[in-house]
Amino acid sequence: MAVGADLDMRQGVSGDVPTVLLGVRDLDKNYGPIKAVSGVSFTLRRGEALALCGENGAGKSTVFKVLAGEVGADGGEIHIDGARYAPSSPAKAVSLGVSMVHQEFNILPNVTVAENVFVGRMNAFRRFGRVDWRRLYEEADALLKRLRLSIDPRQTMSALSPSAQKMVELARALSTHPRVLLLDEITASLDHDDADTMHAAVERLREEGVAIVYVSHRLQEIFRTCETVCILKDGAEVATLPTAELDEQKLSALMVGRDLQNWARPVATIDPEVAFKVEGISGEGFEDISLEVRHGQTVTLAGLAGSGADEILEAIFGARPISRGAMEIEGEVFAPIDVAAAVGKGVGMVPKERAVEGLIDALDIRTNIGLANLPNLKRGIVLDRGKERSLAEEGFRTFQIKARDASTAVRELSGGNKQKVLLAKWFAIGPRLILLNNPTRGVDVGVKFEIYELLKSLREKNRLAVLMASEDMAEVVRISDVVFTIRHGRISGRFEGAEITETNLINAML
Amino acid sequence: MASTPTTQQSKTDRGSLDWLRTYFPFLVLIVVCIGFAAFSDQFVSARNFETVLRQTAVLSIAAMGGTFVILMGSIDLSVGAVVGLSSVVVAYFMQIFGIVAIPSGLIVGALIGAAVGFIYAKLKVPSFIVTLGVLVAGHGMMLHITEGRPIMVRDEFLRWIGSGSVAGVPTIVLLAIIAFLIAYFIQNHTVLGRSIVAIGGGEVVAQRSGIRVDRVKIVTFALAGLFSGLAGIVLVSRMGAGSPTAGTGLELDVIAAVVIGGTPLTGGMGGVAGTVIGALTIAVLSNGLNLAGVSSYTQLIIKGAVLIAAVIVSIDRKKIGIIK
Repeated sequence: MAVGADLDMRQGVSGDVPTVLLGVRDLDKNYGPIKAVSGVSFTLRRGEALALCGENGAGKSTVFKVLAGEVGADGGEIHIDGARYAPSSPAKAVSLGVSMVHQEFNILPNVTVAENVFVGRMNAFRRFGRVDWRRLYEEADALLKRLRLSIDPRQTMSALSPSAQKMVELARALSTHPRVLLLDEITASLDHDDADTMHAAVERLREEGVAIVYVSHRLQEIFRTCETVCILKDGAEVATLPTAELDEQKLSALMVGRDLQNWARPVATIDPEVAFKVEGISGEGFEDISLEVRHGQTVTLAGLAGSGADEILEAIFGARPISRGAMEIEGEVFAPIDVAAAVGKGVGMVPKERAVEGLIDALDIRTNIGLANLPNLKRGIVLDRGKERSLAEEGFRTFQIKARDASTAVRELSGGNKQKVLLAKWFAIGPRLILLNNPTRGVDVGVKFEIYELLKSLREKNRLAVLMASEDMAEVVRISDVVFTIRHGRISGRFEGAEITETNLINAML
Repeated sequence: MASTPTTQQSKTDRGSLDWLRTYFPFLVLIVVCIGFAAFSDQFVSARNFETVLRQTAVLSIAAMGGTFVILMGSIDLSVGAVVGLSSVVVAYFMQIFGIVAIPSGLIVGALIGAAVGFIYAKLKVPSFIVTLGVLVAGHGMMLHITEGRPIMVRDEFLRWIGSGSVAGVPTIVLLAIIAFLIAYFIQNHTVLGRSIVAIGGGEVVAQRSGIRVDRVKIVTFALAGLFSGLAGIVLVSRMGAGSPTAGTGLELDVIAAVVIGGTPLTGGMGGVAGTVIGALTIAVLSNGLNLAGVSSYTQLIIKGAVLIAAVIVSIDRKKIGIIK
């Protein structure tokens, strides 16, 4: 094991060196005025698996980023094997024995599995100035075997299934000889069987003494894999408990906190007439979907990543072909040939990937809000700039966007404010139906609740029909009137009112 | 997970830098002018001023269309060929039909542009390739039409366009100004202009905002062709003939003018006003270097260096993730 300069060899304060491998004490991390993490402590023994639990925005990823050396802590101490641990970069963290597998895929699709395992470290396989391919394949093979995987290291990465690709990422982390392995939602895009294989691999590593810190929204997995759970809420530690003392319901109650019970769903104010109706639509990634959305109602498609909920929204928005079935909006036939046609019919969509599909960073708030409204801002071929400005200013006020004015470039805004601009853009079209795909993804906790409140009041005031897709169960429970769970592209359950609980939904989703 | 809020930079700091970037092309032009004025007495004269403007006309008109294409994030290598082909077609038809044949240059330009746009948008061939093909084929067509010899045109009206003037302003300069005003209006006051900038800034966002991206691409290339057609008419009027090699290499001057004018090749920002400055900078550079007696070989080296230097200073590297 390489020992970097950051590893201070003085004894840790705790003194319990033999048993504790990783000790995190009073960890703080602020982003500007926002306390992303404050006062989080936990310890980890060799071979132990600890789950970090909490809703989106609770601080799990921030703890991971600090441990992986991606950001520095603002307070508190971390020790590994009794030595002070404060990595200055991810590379440093790896050299000190902490490796991470990210939720997102970090792969090179066009090269071999072995090259993916040893990416960035190919120098180690130099022989007479060339790559020693034989040794490269042998070592990659040995690593994959250690994880009990049957993947050919000579194969091209893109030929593998997503789960196999994730396994290769795990092998990559393993090749750095980690003492602590950080696993961030590694099963998020895998189906059940693949998740099993992944678990077997993780088990194997634990037997070898590698300590695991685990983040997953699949509560069942946490009970299967981890001995200890550290529950975070709004950046602070709620409790650290042995898994044996918990069950799924207790765990989600601790994660969500009390305000869940206090959240009143305005069921009574839903209008009787149907705003939007889908009858048996099918397409690539989804099959036989039927649902109804009334004015003033929020209907949610709840599913794990890859469930098909994204595809359903995209198809309704005209961005994906529908092979069968029919749709109606306020009684008229709705069959958009493209996005422009859907927007023309008064359908807006807040997309999941804000940076790619939602906003243009280089342009100002006004122009961004105007983009979805060009047909309404047109007089002949001329753009009504006065109307564009008033539309933007209205959105700017309604959504309480924090910026100098509407001529500020979107690039200068925080994630939460960007999201508000995106919502303002689509509410400005005066939508008859609004599609929200994970509307608070990548948004601070504070802004998240602001957005919930805004959605609630807009829905009340404008009698809006909302069709949402979300992977965040706490969010689904909080703001939905009706929930359809989606599994493998099909509706697997329908829940209304008091039936909408995280446990019910998760059971129907898996 | 909580996203990282943007770190607060000093506003004045960023503001002054942005200001510098916005007006940088203009500053370069002024510095170049002052430099030449110090070197040569002939440079600062009404006569020379008019010469520079006349020399800029063809380039700046063609570069209006080129700006829209680059603003959209595409590229047009066919400008020189389309300008040349238009000029040759105008000359050819004027031999038979006289002045009524002048608009044929616009028609040729618009048709070729629309065809390029269609192949690019609908058949998904990169604009670089489509326009490269048109560049090669266009020069071939010119040689066919002219049979390798210039087609002389003797027409009073055409001569008036080429060397006449209206109230002291050369006609071709007036045409260039009108072309600029139209382009400026399209960029800032039309739905098309907004759509072009949006596609350059983020094509997926534009499409997901309900902009019919394919249609905008076709219209933009047709528009660029129209400007090239106009530039072709101006070219034939200046030379009094349709030359088989007219417009050769103009596409590179257009790209240089656009880029020196502050529109990055990735599109999404910048615009036609900068391009006019860029075109003037190129014209002033050749004019001043000619007056200073610098050989045309050396001039090429200087022009190339200025192009690269302008981009080094004017782009904001922090905003650009990947350069290809």
